[in-house]
This record gives sequence, C-alpha cells and structure tokens, in this order.
Amino acid sequence: MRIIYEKVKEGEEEVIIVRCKKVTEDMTYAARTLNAVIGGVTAFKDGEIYKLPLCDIYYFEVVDNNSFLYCESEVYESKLKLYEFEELTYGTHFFRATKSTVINADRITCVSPALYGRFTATLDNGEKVMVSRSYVSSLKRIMGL
Amino acid sequence: MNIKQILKTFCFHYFLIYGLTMMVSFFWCLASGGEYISLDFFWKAMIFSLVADAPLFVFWSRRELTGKQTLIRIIIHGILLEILLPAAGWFIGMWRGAGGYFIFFATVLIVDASIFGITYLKMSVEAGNINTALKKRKLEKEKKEEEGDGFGEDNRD
Repeated sequence: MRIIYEKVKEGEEEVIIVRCKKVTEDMTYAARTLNAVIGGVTAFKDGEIYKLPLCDIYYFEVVDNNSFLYCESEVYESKLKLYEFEELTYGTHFFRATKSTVINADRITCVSPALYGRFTATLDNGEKVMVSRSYVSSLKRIMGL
Repeated sequence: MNIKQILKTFCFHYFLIYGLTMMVSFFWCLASGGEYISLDFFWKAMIFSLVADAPLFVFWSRRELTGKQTLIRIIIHGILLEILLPAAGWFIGMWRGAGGYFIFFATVLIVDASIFGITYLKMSVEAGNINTALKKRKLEKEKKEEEGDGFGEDNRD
C-alpha cells in the first residue's frame, strides 16, 4: 500500500483520509492510533486541559494509582491507566520500562548498568529513569537489537 | 522482582548451585586423595543448594525497588549468604575448624562478588550495544530531517 503525505494550507484542518476498497478493523485501529499520536494525549495541569503530542512526552508513570505524563520540564496528570497508555502507544517508540512506567525510547540519550540487573536510562532533559531487567528486551527490540 | 520472577530465578539458580556443588565436591575429592562421596551427600547437597538459594527471596517486592532499596537488599542477601551457607556447609561436612570456616567464608564472598562483577560486565556490554543503536537512530533521524519536509510519497519499506 502506498503512503502519501499532502500539505494542507495555513488554517486548514489536518485530516486523515484512508482510500481503500473496504474498511477493515486493522485500518480503523491504525487510523485511531495515528489520530491519537498526532492529535495528542489529553493531560491536566492546574485545572486546565492540554493536548500533548506523543513526541513531547518523555515518560508515563503511575504513582499510587495516579497517572502522570512527564515532558521536558513539565509534569501533567492523566486519566489514562498504564495499560491504556501502553495500548495507545503500541507500535510507537514507547515501551514498558518498569511495573509502573512507560518510556519514550526517542528521548533516551544513553543507558548505563545499575544494580541487580537493571539499567538506568538518561533522558534528553538529564532525568534518569529505571529500566527493569524484565523489560530491557522491549528496548532492545525497538533499537533493532 | 515479583513472585513469578523470583520462582523462575530460584529454580534456575537451584539447579545451577546443585550442579556446581556436586562438580566442586567431585574434583575436591579427586584432588584430596580420591575419597568416595557417600550417597548421603547427594541429598545433603540438595538441602545445601536450597539454603544457598533461599536468600533470593529478599528481592521479592510488589513494587519496583528504588536504587537505595535494591542496595540494602543486596547487602542483606550477602549477609544471609555468609550466615546460612557456612552453617549448611558444616552440616554436609564441607568444612571443619576455624581455618575451614575462614576459607569457606572467603569462598562465599569471592563467588558472590564474582557473580556481581560478571553480571555488571555483561550488562555494560549490553548497555554499550544499546547506546550504539541509540546514536545510530539519532543520526538517521537528523539525516531524515535534513533531507526535506517529508511531503509526497513514502517509499520506505
């Protein structure tokens, strides 16, 4: 199948058009995911609602049943559960790093070994996050290793 | 580690420890005059392996351990090994007397430190490979951005 990108005029709405013979479940799933990836994830901060593009999110974390989205310097709250965020970002560069975090592999600068089979991932903003031994394979798969 | 991971690691370590114990005992007997290993030694070595593996449960946690918590548990694990293993070793006749205790204690310490060191080295190599792949990806991304605005047909596989 061919993939074509078309430029829209200034002020015009961005739209996903799928030209096909039959709409399949896979297509609707892919289109919805694309919409979420480009449209952004709904986030909350100081009573205001934001739409965060996935590329701006460094990692997603659940702390005491509350979900947070960490960007370069800002932290937003999210209503998504960990598995919902995982589903939303399936097929992207996000991967499950620990029991409670999902990290954007595109934002990792380097990784270094930590204690007891774990890795420490240093992000673009200098923040360090843990990658569990059991999830290292996900990162390696994204890296093509 | 959750209970599933603990049990998986426990089983793997159990057979590894048992195998190594039997192997070391066999060569030790050969080197020290060719004494026979009694049949009792087989089940005693099984108990010894269980005792050696048991401290692994200190890493059991429902939540992800922080760096500090992990360090504390590594220390507790080491202390438990140094308490339980000499006791189990004495039970199966691996050492006798103060000299024997000292050698046994030092051996446990060296083996534990070696495993720690080897794991760290292995992980350093793994981290090196991931970092190389990360750099490659960043370069490819930069190159793609330089090539144009991305409009038109995507001909990549």
